[in-house]
Parts: sequence; structure tokens; C-alpha cells
Amino acid sequence: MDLSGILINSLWGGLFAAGVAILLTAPREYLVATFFCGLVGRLVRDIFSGLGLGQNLSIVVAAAMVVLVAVACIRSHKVSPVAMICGVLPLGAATAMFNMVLGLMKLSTVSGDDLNAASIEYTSNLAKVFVTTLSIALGIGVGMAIVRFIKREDSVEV
Amino acid sequence: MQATDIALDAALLVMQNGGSTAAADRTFSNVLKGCATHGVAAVWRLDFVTLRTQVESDLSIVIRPVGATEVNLLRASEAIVAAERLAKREITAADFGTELDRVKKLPSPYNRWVMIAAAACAAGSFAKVAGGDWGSFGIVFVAAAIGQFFRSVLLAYKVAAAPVTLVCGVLSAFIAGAGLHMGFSRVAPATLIASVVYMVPGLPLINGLIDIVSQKYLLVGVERMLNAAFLFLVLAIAIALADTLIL
Repeated sequence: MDLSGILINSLWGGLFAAGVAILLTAPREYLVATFFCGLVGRLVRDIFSGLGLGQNLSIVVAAAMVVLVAVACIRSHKVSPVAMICGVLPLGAATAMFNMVLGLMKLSTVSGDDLNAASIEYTSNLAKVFVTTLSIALGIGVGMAIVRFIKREDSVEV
Repeated sequence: MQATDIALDAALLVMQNGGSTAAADRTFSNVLKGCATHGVAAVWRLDFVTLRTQVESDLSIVIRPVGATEVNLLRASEAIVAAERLAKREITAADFGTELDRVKKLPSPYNRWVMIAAAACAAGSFAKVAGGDWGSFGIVFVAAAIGQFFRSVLLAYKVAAAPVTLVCGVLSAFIAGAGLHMGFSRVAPATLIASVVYMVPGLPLINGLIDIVSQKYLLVGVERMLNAAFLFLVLAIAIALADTLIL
């Protein structure tokens, strides 16, 4: 496992999350939290993938960690949705989403063997988008459940 | 001004500035709670809100359009906080009205140049995360910065979101395509996708997810998600155009 490579990739993930948070006009006090959410999310995903946990299970764990980091950094009874969602963006559904839409457009222009190959590629990307999104949503749910359990109250809201 | 009008003003302020429907509804309830008003039910849609008020035997229904929306989460956040303070009786209804007027005038926390720098950094970082090299980082940094500059100019002229996304997406993707064509990088997919990633419809996705998860606003959530999917399609068309015409 290339730890320095994973750490550098995680730093890029954190920067990406913070950049998107600024584009979404998130309040300034959430930017550091968003950076750490993006960094930790990507770090946990890559480390667990490297340990052989499997891509989707790693994403579930990483998304749960993003929620915990968001709660730890933002001392409020509400989890900032901006920090949380920007934090899970580097976990990887965006590229597959674009590839899926591009594949859909390609399907209408090819024929024969190319059509078969494009169909398989499209189905593969569709599956990646679906499973990755589901894993992220599940991870966020798990993270919120852990926070509720730790705080022993029902007032944790998004 | 009636309590329901003030509550609706605050809730619409949240929705108009990028808040979720759940947050708008919570703000609405908090203001009504702070004004000790009961018997009001609201139905939320993306384009209008319907209020049903019953005082003894008098039943009234009010429909209010949501109006033009923009992204300023600082305003949404401040309106939510002010409504919470009213609900806890930390401020009076009169103070809340003054506070709401102040919030309405709040500018975006980041100026145009900070947004351009953020778009460039986000795009460059995404290129690196997606497996791009330093060449693709440089290409998308420039492409996103130029695209975001034109985006801010077009948004200042109140151009609708879809045409802005298409124009700026095509511009950024073409610059990225030109950079790839000139041989600055060989990682085409990561570079092309990263060049437009600063326009990924983040807020519709976030709010759509929150609305769907909360279950009370399923239709609004689905509407927001479809809007996000449409903008994704527009961005993909921009990438496909650059891929076909330049590479």
C-alpha cells in the first residue's frame, strides 16, 4: 500500500471539497471542516480499499467517517449538509456519472460490435453510479446513527 | 404584517438562497412557534407554496410563488438561525422582521475572484484525484478559471442556469480539449471531466437528497434530482462536443 500516494490523493480530495464548498457559498466557518471531511473521506476509502475491504464497503466506512468528522469539527446539534456532501464528493461517483451520460450519447451513434462494447461499458458505469451512490447514502445513514447513539438524543438533524 | 406572512417570507428566503425544503419548513414552523400562531399547514413545491390557515370556522388558503432562486447559503443559514432564536424567544417578532431585512441584503461571502480561484482549485484537485497528471492539472486550472469568470458574468445578467451551464461547459471543455490537443497531457477523460466539474449541480443534489430522505418532501426532492440530472446531461454534451470537434 502506497501510503504517501494515498495521503497526497487525500489532500487533493480535501482541496476539492473545500473548493466546491466555496462555489456553493458555504459560510466561512465551515470551510476547514469541509476540507477535513474531504481529506478524511478519501483517506479512509483508499486505506480500506488497500487493505482489501472492497471498493463499496470502503466507501460506506468513508462516508460514515465524513459524518463523524463533520460533527466533530462543527460543534452544533445540526450536521452541516454542505460540509457533509462536499466531503463525500471526492469518494468517486462524479467520474462514473459523466462516463455514464457520455456512454448514453455514444450508444445512439454506434452499431454492430461497437454497440455491444458501448452497451457493456454503459451498463458497467450505470452499476458503478448506482452502487457508489447507494454506498455513500448508506454510509451517511450509518454515520448519523452513530452520532445519535453517541449523543443519545434525537436532535441531530441535517 | 401577519405572523404567517413573516414566517413565509423567512421560509422563502431560505428556499430562494439554496436551502433545502426541510430547512425552509423548519424555519416556517420556528417563526410560527415564536409568534405563538397555530393551525397553519403548508404544502411545499419547488415553484410555489400553499398555506392553509384555520381560525375557528374561518378557513383561508394562500398560494405564494417561490420566485427567482440564487445561491447564497450565508443568507439561508442566517435566516434559519434567526428563526431558531425567535422560536426560543431570544428575540421578539419585531426584532425578527428587522433581522430578516438585514439578512435579505447580505452579499455573497465570496467575491468573484475568490469564486474563480475556488473553481480553478476544485477543478485542478479533481483532475489529480481522478488520476490526472500535472499537465491536466494546469489545463483544467485555466479552463475552469475562464469558465467561472464567464459564468459569473452571465449570472450577473440573470441568464438561466441551463444556458449558462451549456455555454461555460462548452468553453471550459474546448479549452481543455485544446490543451490536450497541444500535448500538455495525455489523460483525456480526467482532464475533460475535471474541466467542467466546477459546474456540477451540487446544491440540487444535496437538497434533493435531504428532501427525499426526510420523506415529507419526496416530490420536491425528485424534482430537484431531475434538475440536477438535466444539468449533468448538459455538461456531458459540452464534453462530448469538445471530444468530437477538437480531439
